Amino acid sequence: MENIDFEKFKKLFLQEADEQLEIMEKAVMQLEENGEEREIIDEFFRMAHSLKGSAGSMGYTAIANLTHEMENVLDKLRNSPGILSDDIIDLLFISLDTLKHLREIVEKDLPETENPEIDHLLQRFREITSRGDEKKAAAVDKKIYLTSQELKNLKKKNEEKNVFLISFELIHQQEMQSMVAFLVFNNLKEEGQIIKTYPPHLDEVEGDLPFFSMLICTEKQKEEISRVIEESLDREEFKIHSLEDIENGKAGGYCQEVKESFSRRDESRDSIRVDIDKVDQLMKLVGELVIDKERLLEISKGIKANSRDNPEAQALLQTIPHVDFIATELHEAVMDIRMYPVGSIFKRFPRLIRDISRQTGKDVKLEFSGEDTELDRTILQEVFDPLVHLVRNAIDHGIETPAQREAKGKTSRGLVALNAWQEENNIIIEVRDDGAGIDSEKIKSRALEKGLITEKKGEEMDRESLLELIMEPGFSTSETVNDLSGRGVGMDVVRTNIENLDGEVEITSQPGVGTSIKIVLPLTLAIVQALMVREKGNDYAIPLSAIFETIAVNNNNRGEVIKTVKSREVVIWREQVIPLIRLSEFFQLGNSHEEGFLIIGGVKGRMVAIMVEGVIGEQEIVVKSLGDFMGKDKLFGEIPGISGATIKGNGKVALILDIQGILKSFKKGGESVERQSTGC
Amino acid sequence: MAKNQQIQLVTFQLSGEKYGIDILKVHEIKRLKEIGITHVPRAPEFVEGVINLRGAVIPIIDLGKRFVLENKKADKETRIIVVKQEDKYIGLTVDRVNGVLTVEEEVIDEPPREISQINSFFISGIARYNERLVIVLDIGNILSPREDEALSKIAR
Repeated sequence: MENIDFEKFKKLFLQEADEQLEIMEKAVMQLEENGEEREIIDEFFRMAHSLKGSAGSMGYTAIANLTHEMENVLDKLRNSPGILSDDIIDLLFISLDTLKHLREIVEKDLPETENPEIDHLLQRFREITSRGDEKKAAAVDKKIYLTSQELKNLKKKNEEKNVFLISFELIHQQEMQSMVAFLVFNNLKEEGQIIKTYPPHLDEVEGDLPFFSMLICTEKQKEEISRVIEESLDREEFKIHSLEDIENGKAGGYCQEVKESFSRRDESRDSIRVDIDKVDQLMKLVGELVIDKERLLEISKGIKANSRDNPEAQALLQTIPHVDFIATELHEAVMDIRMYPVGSIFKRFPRLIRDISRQTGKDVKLEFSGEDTELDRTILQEVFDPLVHLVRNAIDHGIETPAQREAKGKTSRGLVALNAWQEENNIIIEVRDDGAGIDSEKIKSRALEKGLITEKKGEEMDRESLLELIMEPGFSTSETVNDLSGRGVGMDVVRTNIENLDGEVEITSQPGVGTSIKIVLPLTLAIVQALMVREKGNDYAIPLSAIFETIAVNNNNRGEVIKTVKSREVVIWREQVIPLIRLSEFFQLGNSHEEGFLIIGGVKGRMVAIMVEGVIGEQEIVVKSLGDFMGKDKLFGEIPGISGATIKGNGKVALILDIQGILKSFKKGGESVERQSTGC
Repeated sequence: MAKNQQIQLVTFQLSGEKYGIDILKVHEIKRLKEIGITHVPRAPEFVEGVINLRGAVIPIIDLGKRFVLENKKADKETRIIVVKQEDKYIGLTVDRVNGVLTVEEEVIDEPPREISQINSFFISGIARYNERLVIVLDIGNILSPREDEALSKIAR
C-alpha cells in the first residue's frame, strides 16, 4: 500500500513541480525583460517556496537545497532593491534547468547522485546572498502581503468572525526571540486560525526576531485576544488591528494588498486539475454509449415496422431519438474536456528562443497568434517536439545574423512567429520566419548529390516538390552539424511524427523573404463519421472525410464508368482518371463481382475508386486500434489497408479501411492489385 | 514457503495432445460459437481474426496453426482461451478445454526434446499426472517476437 501511496504523491509532486517551474521560468524572463518588479519576485518566491516544501516532504534533498538557496537570493532581491544583475538572472536560469533535470531524476526513479554542479550553484547563490549583508537590517520589509482574492476571503470571514492583525516588537526580550514568537504563535493557534504571518513560517524561524506579526481569524473579541497575548509575554509591545484598519491603511503599514501579476491564478480558480486517465476513461465510456446508441437506432428501425398498435413500443420509439441527441451532446462535451489551448505549448517557446538566439548570436523576436485555438490534448503533446525542431531550424537556417540582415535592408532583429488557427476540420499550426528562405536550387543539387532524385526528375520537379525534398530521410542542408539542428533528427522525423497523427506538413518559402511551415492536423481522432460498406459478408468502415462520392455500378452503366487502360482498370470521374481497386482482390478474399458500388475517395489529392459489394449507410464510429498485436511496430505487423477497428451495433468488430494505406500499398506493389485473369 | 508449491493448470486438447497453461495467465474461456470473429484480411496466417471483448478489440490466434499442427475443424467443442500477458490480451483457439488440474510444482520436469510435435521453445515443462503427460506451455514465449520470426520461417 505504502508504495502505491508514494507513487500517487510522487505523481502529484511532479504535476505541481511542472507548474511551479513554468511559472518560475516565466518570472525570470519577465525579470530579465522588465527589471526588478516586486510582484514578480514575490510570485517567484512563492513558487520556489512551495517547491522546496513539497520536495522536502518527499525527501528530494537536492531540489529542496537548491530551491532554498534560490529563495534566499529572491528574498535578498526583495529586501535590497537595485541589486538585480545579469549574473543573478543567468544563475536563476541555470538553476531552473538544473531543477528540471532533478525533476527528471525523480520521475525516472534514478538515484540522487553527487552532483558537483549543484554544489557549485549553491556556492554561487550563497555568495550573492552574503553580499553587502551589513545593509540588510535597514531594508527589511515587515509586511504581510495579501492578494486581492485573499482579502476578499477575509472580508467574508470577518462577517461572522473577527480578523485581527497583531504585530509585535520585542524590546526587552533580547535572547531567544524566536522562542517567544513560537510561544505566542502556539497560544494564539488555540484561539482561532492563523492565516498568515510575517516572517512566513513564523513557527520555524530560529534566532533573532525583533519584529513579527500575524493575521488571525477568531471568534473571540479583541480584548480576549489581548489577554491571551499578555499572559504569554509581559512588558512587550504589541498592536491589534481590525480588518477595517487594514483596508483603510490604518494598520501601520504592516499589512498590504498586492495585485496579482499572474493572471494564471485567476484562471485556475474556476477550473480543476483532473488526471488525464480519468478523462480517457470517461471518453471510453462515452465511446461505448455511442456504440449502444447506434445499436438502439438500428433496433428501432426494426420495431417501427410492426408495432403500430403497441403503445409501449411507440413510447420507446419516441425515447430513442432523445437518447441519440443526449449521447451526441455528451460526446461533444467530453471531447471538449480533452481540448487544450495551443498556447499551453507556445508558452514554452520564449525560453527556447532566448537560448538559441544567445548560442547563434542572432537577435530574434517571437510572436504568437491564435493561442486560444484548441486541440486534442494527446495530439498537442505529440506536436511539441516537431515544433521545437521547426523553430530551431527557423533560427538556425532561416534567420540571418544582424549584420547580414542590415546589409539586406531588413530590421536587424529577426522574427519567428508561431500561429495557430482552425480551418474546417483541421487545426493549423504555422512556424513562420522572415529569414533567408529556402533556395530550391541548392536543394536540388543536394538531393542529386545524395542520390535522392535523378537528373531527369530534378528537371521536371517544380519548386513546391523540390521544397518537399527536405523532408526526405537522409536529407540535411546544413553544411555543418551543430548543437541546434544537427542532432540527427531531421525534417523527415518531423514529417513522420505528424503523419502518425494523421496530419500533413506544408512548406512554402520565398528566397530572401522567409519561410512558412504549416502543420495541418485533424481536430480529433477518437470518433468519426464513416460510411459502412460490405464485402464478402464482412462490414468495413470508411471515414467520410476521405470519401468524395459513391457510384452504383450495374450491368447498364459498367461499360461507361469502368475503363481499361494498359490492362489496368480505371474509373473516369469528373474528367479525372482514377485507378480502380476491387476490395475483395486487394484483401485476397477471392474474385470480385461485376455489380456493386464504387467509393470514390482520396487523400492529399491522390484519388482511388474502391469497388465494394454493398453500401450499408453512414454511421458514427468509435475508432479503436486492432489491439496490442497488430499494427505498426507490433508483433504481428501492420495490416495493409486497415487502420483500426470499430464495434458495430450488433457487438461485432468491423475493420476501418485506410484509404491512404491502400494508396500506398497500391503504389508499392501495383501488380498485386492488377486484375487476375479469372474470367468473370 | 513450503517447498512443494502447487500450480494450477487449465488443460486443453490440441491435435490429440494434452496441454496446460498456468491458470494465473488465463483471463477467461469462451465458446467459439458464441462470439463472432471478424476476419482480418492479409494478417499472418495463424491470426483467425479479431473479437470484441467488452469494448476492446483483441486478436484471436489459431494455436494449431501457430504450432504448425494438423488442423481440426472448429466444432461445438472449440473454445477460445483468452490469456493475459504483460497487460496485453489475446485469444487462443483450442480443440476442447478439459478442466483445471492441480499439480505439485516439482512434478513438472524440464521438457525433453522429442516429447512433442511442437517446438520445445513454447514449452516450459512436462507435468506427469496419473500416468499421463501434460505439456505446460510458456505463454510469454508463444507471444514472443523472437519466436515469431522462427515461426514464420517454419510456416513457410
